[in-house]
Amino acid sequence: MTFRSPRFSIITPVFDPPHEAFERCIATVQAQTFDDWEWCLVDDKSNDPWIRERLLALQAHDRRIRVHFRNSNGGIVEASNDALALATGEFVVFLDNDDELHHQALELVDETLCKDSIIDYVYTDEDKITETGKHYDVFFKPRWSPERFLAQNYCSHLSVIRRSLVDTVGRFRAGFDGSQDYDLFLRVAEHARKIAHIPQVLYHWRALAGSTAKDHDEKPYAFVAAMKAVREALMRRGVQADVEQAGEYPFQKVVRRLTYHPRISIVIPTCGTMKNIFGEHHCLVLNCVRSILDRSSYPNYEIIVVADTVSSPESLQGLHSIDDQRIRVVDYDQPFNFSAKCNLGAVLSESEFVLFLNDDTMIIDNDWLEVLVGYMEDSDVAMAGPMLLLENHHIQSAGHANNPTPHNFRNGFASDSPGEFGVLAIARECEGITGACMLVRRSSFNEVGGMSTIFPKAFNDVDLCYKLLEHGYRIIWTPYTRLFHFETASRPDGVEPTEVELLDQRWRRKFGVDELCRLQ
Amino acid sequence: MSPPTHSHHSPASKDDVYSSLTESELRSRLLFGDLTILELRDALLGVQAQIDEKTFQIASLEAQLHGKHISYAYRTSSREAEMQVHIDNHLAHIARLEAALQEASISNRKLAVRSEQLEAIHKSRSWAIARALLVPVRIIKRFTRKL
Repeated sequence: MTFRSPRFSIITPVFDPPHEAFERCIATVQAQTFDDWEWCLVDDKSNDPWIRERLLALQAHDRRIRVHFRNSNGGIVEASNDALALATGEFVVFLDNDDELHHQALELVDETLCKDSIIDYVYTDEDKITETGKHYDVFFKPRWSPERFLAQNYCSHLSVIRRSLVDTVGRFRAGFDGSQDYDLFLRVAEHARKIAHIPQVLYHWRALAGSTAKDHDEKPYAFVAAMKAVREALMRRGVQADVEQAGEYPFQKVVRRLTYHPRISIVIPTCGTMKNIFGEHHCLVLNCVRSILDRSSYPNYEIIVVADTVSSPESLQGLHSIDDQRIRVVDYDQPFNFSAKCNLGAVLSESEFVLFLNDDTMIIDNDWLEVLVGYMEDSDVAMAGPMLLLENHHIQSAGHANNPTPHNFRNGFASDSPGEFGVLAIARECEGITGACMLVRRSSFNEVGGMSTIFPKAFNDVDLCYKLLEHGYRIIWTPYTRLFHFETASRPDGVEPTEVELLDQRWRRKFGVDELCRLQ
Repeated sequence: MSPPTHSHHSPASKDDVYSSLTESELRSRLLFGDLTILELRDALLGVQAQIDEKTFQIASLEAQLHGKHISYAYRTSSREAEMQVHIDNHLAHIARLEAALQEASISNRKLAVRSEQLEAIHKSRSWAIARALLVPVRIIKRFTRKL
C-alpha cells in the first residue's frame, strides 16, 4: 500500500483555548468543502484537562486528524514546529486554536494553486470576530507588496505555504515569539517563486482579551520581535537600513542608509504663476526653488527650470538672480504642454534620477531627497513619491488610487491619522504618484517613452505610472517625507475632454480595480 | 563586382551635412532626436495599451453574452462588489458552521442518550442476574488464559 500525502496540512498549536472558540474552530475545519487535508494539532501541555480528552476524541473520530501531546510547555514556536514535524501535506495551512476558517478556504486556495504550479505562498483577506461571533474589521489586502510587507505583516491570516519551502528556510525560529509567523513569512518571501493573493475573506481572527487581534498593545513583545525580524531580513538581503517604529504606530519604518548619492535632476516646469501662500503673495517657482536650496541636505542635485517664454519677467529675473551653479533655466516656446516641458527637462539632464516637481510645491524636510532615493535601491522600483500636504496641512495626495477612477488617495483627509490598517503611516506600493513630486529612474522613464504629450494638462502622471506598472516596475509612496502642494497653480485649470477620452482608450480596464490599495 | 558608390543617403554624406552645423545646432538636433524617440516609444506603448484595452472589452462583452460574471472593473465600485462577495460568502459560511455545530450537538445528544441507556442497563436486575450466571464462565476463561 502506498501512502499519498494530502494537499494540505493544517498546523495548529493548542494551548488552553476558550472552550466555545475551540469548538467553533474544530467545526470550521470539519465543515471544509475540500477534504484532502490532514490536521496536525500539538497540545503545548494545556492546563485544562478537557482539552486532552477532546483532542483524543477528535483523533479517534477522524483519521485525518493527528495529535501530539508535549511533555512540557515550550511556547508557540516549539509547539508549531512540532506540528510541522507531523505534517505530510504538500502545503501547510496555519490556523490558531481559537480562530475560524471560511468553509471554502481550502477549496479556494487549492483552486488558486492549480492555476499556477510555481506558486509557493498564498495569502487571503481576513476579518476579526468578537467572543460572541460578531465579525468586524475586514482587511481587504493588497496584492504582494514587498515594501509594505517590511512595514507590517499584512499577509498574516490565512497563510498557506509549500511545506518543502518551510522546511528549507528552517521552520519557526526561537527568539521571535509573538511575531514568529512574520519572521517565517519574511524568510519564505525571499525564496518563494511566486506569491499569490486571494481577494476573499477566508480567515476569521478571534479578538479575545489579551490577543493581538484585539489590541496591538496587548503583546508589546510581539512588536519588538517584528522589528527584529525585519532587521534580520534586511541584513540577509544585503540592504543597509535602520528599522524604527513608524511614529507612535505599531509598524516598522525602514530607513535606508545610502551607499552613494546618485545625481538627481530636479525638473520644475513653470509658467511663472504668482499665488498667495500662507497669507503672502509669492512667485511660486521662486518660492519652490528657494525652499529646495534652503532645506535640502542631499549633496548631489541640479535644478532645471523649464519656463514658458510667456512667464512673468519678475519670476525669470528672480531665478536668474539666484547665484547657484546648480540652477539652469530653459526656455519653452511651444503652446502649453506639461508633459512636453517635463520631457524637455528630462532629456536635458544626464542624471541617473529625475525628480519632477511642480512649482507650486514647497519642501518641508531636509532629507526629502535621501528618503525618496532610498527606495530606488531596489532595481525594480521605478518611481517614488512623498506625502503631499495642502496649505491647511491636510492631505493633498497619498499616492494614486484607482477606485472608482484614478484620483489622489485621501485628498482632504487629516494627515496625522494612520488610516485604515496603517495605509497612511507606512511606505507602500501603489498604482501611481501624483506628478507634482515624483522621483523617476531615468532608464525606466526612457523605456516607457517618458510623459505622453497627448496629455498636455491632466492625467500625464496617471498614464506614466500605468506604463511603468505594465512594464513590471514598482511604484512606492512614502509618508516619511512630506511636501506642501498648493495644487493646480502650475498649469491651467480644468481637464480637456480629449484627455479623458484618451485615458479611457488606453487604460479604462484599470479603473475601479486597484489591487494595491483596495480601500475606498 | 563594382565598388559601392556614395549616394546622397550614405553615412558619409550625412557626416558631411553634420560637419557644417554649429555646436548649438548639433545640440538642438540631438535634443530633438531624444524627444522624438520618447514620443515614438510612447506612441508605440499607447497603441499597445489601446489593443489591450479593446481585447479586454471584447472579452468582457463575450463573457456578458454567455451569461458569465463581468469583471468588477465595470462596476462603479469594486469595494462594493467585494463587500457583496464577502457578505454572500460569510452568510454561507455561517449557515454551514451552524449546521456543523448542530450536527455535532445532535451526535453529542445521541451519545449522551446511549451512555444513559448503557448506565441503566448496567444498573438493571437482569444485568446483575446475567453477570451472576456468567461467573463460572469467567472463572474458566481466566483459568484457561493462565494456561
